[in-house]
Amino acid sequence: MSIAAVPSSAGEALANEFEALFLEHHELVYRTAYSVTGNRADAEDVLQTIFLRLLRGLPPDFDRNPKGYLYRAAVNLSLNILRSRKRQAPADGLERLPAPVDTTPAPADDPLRRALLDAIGQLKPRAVEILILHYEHDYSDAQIARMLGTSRGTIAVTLYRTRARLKKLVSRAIPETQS
Amino acid sequence: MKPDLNDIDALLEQHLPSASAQQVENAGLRVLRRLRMRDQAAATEPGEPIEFEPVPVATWRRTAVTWIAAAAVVAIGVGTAIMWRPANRVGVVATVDTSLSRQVDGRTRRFPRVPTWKPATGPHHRRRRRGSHAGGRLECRNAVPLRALG
Repeated sequence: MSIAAVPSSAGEALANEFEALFLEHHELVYRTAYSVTGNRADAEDVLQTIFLRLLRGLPPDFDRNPKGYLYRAAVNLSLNILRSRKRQAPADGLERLPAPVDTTPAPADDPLRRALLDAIGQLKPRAVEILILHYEHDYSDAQIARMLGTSRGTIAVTLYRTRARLKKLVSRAIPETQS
Repeated sequence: MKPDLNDIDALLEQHLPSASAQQVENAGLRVLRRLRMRDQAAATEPGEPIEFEPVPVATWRRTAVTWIAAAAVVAIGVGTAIMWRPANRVGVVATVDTSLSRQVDGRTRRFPRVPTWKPATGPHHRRRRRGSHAGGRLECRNAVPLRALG
C-alpha cells in the first residue's frame, strides 16, 4: 500500500498541506538519515523529529527552499546522532546492552562500512550534504549547487576535497591486518 | 582482501548504506501515523488559555540600565579611592621623647617643643596635701618659652 493512500481516521487529521509536505519529502529525509547513520531506527527518529518540529511551527526561512531546509536538517541531525553514538561507546569492562534487532541487510559488522561512517562523522556538515546528494541521491553537481544555493565550482572542489579526506580517514581506520 | 582505497568512488557506492524502497515506505507509514496521532492528541488536549501578563520591554531594560549604572558608579568610586592617593601626604608623628614632628613628602620637620606645665614644688614652696589645686601655682619648666605656633 502506498503511503499516500493511507487513510486518516477522523481523529487522525493532519493539515493537508503538512501531509503533502511529508509525502513529498519523507523519502529524501529518510534516505539521507539512513546513509549517514547506517541505522534504520535512527533514520526513523530523524524523520520523525524533523517533521514533528515542523508541526510545531515552520521556521521563518522555510518557504524559500523547503527541500534544502529539510535536507540540511536531516544531515545535521544524523551527524549529531552519529557523533553522540561514538561518544557513548561503552567503556572497557562494561558490557554492551543488546541492540534492537535490525533486519537490515549488510549489517554494521562490515568493517569498511563502519570505517566509512566513522569517517563521515568527522567531516564538516556541508561536505556530508554534498557527498550524500552525490552518492546516495545521484544528483549532478549542478543540481546540488541549485539545491544548496551555491556554485557548481564550489560543489566540484568540495567533493574533490571530501573524497581525499575520506580516503585518508578510511585508510587510517582500516586495520593493517586486512591486507 | 584489502579494499582498494584508491577508488573511493567505488568504495562509497558499495559501502555507503542505502535504504531500500520498502524500508522507506514502511518508515514513512509509521512516522506519518505517529505524527497524526500526536497532532490529534495536541488538538484534543483540554487546554485552558494561558494568560500572560506581558512585561513591557522598557521596564526591565530600564531597571537593568539603572543597576548597571549604579554598579559602574560604585566601581569607579572604589577604583579611584584605591588608585589615587594625594601626593601631599601629611603625618604627625610623636617620638619617644614626646617631641612632635611632621612628615611632609618624606621630609621630617620638627615642631617646636610644647612646654610642659607642672605644679610648682620645692623646698621653698609649701606643699599642701589637700586642696593643692585650689591654692597651687603652675610654673614653666621647659627651656623653650611658650609661643604661638604659626
